[in-house]
Amino acid sequence: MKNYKNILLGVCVIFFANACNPNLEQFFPEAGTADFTSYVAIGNSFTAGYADGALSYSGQQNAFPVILAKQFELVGGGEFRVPFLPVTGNGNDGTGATKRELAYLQDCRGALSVAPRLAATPATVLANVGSAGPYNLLGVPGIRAVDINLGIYSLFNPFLGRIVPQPGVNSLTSQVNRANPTFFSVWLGSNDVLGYATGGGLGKVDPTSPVPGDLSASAQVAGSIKILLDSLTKRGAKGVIANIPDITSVPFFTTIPYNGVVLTAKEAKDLDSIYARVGHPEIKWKAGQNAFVIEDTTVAHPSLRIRHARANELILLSTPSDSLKCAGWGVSPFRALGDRYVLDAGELAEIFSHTAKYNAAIANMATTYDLGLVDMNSYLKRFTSGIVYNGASFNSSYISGGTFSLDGVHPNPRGYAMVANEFLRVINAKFGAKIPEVDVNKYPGIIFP
Amino acid sequence: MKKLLLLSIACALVQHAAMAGGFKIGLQGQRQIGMAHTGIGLAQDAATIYFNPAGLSFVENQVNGGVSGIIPRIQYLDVATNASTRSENQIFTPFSLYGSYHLNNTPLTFGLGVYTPFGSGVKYPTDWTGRFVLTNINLQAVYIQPTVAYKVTDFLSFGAGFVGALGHVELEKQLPLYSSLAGTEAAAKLEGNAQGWGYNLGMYFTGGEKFSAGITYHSQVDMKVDNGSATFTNIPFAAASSFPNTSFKTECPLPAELGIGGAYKIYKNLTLAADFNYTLWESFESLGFDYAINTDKLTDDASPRLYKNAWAVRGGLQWDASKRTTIRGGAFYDRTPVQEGYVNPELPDNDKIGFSLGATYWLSDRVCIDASLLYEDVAARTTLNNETKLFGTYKTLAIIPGIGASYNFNKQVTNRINKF
Repeated sequence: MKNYKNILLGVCVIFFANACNPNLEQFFPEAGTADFTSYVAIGNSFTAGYADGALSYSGQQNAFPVILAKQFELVGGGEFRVPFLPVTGNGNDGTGATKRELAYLQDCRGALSVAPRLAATPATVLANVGSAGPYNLLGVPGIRAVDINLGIYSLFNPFLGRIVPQPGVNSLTSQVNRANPTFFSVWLGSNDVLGYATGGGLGKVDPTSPVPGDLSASAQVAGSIKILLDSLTKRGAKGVIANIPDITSVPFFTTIPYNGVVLTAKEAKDLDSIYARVGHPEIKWKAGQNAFVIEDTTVAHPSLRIRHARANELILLSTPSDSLKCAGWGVSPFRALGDRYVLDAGELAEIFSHTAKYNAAIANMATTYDLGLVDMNSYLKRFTSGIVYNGASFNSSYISGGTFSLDGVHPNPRGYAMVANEFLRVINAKFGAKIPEVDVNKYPGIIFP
Repeated sequence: MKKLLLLSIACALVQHAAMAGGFKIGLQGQRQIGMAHTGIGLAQDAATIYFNPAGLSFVENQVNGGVSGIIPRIQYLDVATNASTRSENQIFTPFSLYGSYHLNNTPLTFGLGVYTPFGSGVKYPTDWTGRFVLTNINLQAVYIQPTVAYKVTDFLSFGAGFVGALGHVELEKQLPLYSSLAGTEAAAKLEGNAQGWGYNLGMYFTGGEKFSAGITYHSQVDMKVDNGSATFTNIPFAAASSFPNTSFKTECPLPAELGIGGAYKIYKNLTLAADFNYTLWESFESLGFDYAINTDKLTDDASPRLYKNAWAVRGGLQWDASKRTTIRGGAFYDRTPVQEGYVNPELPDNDKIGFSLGATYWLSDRVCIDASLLYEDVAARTTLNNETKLFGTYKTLAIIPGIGASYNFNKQVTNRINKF
């Protein structure tokens, strides 16, 4: 009888506990037709988790393949080995410089504002960890598609040099099958454009042997990636390939407006007379916003080959901001912005046409090798127009937009989480998988001082 | 470089700080709760001051009070991330207090009611994915209603009450701003007291011993916050000038409601009651905040709510089981006013069903204890919010126990004896 009462009591307690607790069932993650046992990510700085102008341990932790691998664990994904940098040090950009951070800085006018600066030294040491491989994360900051099959390249790129067993011998492609991938992601080609673009278009276009800063021929880009894909797929691995964003999707190219010179009527009048005296009466100024003055070697003038920047030209974020503010850069006829800080219409046309050609080739290869195509070109354009994610608004504005890190090219952790989610959406669609996306708001955004 | 913040932070702040939802509380009388909150056409105690002021003509001289305890449990399941979030446990205690008095040798009955017909509260973990929308809302409104009923004939009465409303609102959310100095995310809190007024009208009809019916109209009450305080914490120094602590004004309409109800004595001890409510939620079109200090990030704005009018049907049974005991049961179906695209974590509303039980026990000729138990089940709703893009499934359940007591100035139990 006593037992009976206890059972009855238990039943009542269970009923009430359940009855007043909602019980929505989570979906059961599924791998679909893909096998995530061994995932290998091949790419450049975007794959490595490069951010704030350097590679660092914390950046690597939020690399999009690391985020993906964690989700793959829900559907049978195995160990994902990352060639982590030491925790100590403030990152390394490959030349020994640290990452950037936001701080209160006094500008040349004495105004205090929040701006990026290099974090305190020391930089993180890039010691070789090749013998501890194989690694699943093969993201090499700086690497171009045309570099991936060159063994000698690992001698020149310290990020590749540190993760291969034999620097100078091992190419990136030579490493990709060491972890026996069953699934892979490839995201290459950005640096074949970015080097040229961030260098102000000083490099050569379609040279036979492109050096960093040149614009690689699309046939070479496609050919290199094809060799990689042949190697990856020959044992049946499945995967995804991402195309490359337009440079106008990243704040490095869109933050400084072409017409960033703000003048009063008197200043404009004074400048007009100066420009008339130096033989450029056609360069006129007005009260309000004016275009920067830039160097252009095609302008006919004995010494000052300069003109106003045009609305379809881009001023790069590498232009020193103090020089713009206080040293008369882009305003004085003798301080026209150098070619390395400006992408003119012709250079931009080359960049856009090459980006389109690379992406056409990548789309072709996705079809040929039956890969999921991650359209990062379209996705990053959505950053530009603005994304609302669970009540938080993001866009691609420098710092304030919340998606890009302080280097203006690479995403911050929230941006990388959104990139990872886009990969997951493509993977889910292509392979009939059901892998949960990650909560973008769980990742760090910009950190203010 | 100084424009370090998103304009939309301010928008998000303004748009989603709402005291919204089908946030009407159906807990205005313990006996009525036991019958699924029917009472427009069945005046059985002084709680008729809320349900139908005209019913006062037909109830005893009495004081009557009660309190219910709600622990609403809300679960959110994010469609994309599969992550489940549960609201934190909190208890809310809506109450009611009524008194009625017949003026001797006149057709007039006076009454006074103090009750809580609207309110809402939910707290989410401060690290949940929707924390930039809401982490905490607490909305309370107390109505104070002096009432008079006029008995035209033995079977017809009219009643009217003036409603003075006092309210308090509290809203909290996180802001997507992280300061290394504070070591945490910034947060915003809006808090204020509100006032409003309205009225409550009714007509009550009895057709002999077996039948009664009523019609009521509860007016809209515009709750105004004139001097609320907006407080921002852990704002990075660089953004401090954009988020000054300031005062704000806002206004929220507590909607009008039309009700019709009836009761029928099926058997000598068994009474059936049914109510139909139609709530004019359409007045809640948007919610705006007017800040005393505006900055580039803190702008006055309004967020659409676009509620639709909604109805509810209720049915209850009451069985006078013995001389001292009455037992009740009931069920209701309550349609949500919240339209697709506008569902918010502040009140993840949907159509709701409820089941109730209740009992009264007479301790003496004059004193009785009322108890009720209500189970509310808000249907699961998978929904994408137009503004916040929160896309997930919400589910709300609540078990609401209540207890109350009445004191009759006349000997009530003696009156019941002839039934048994």
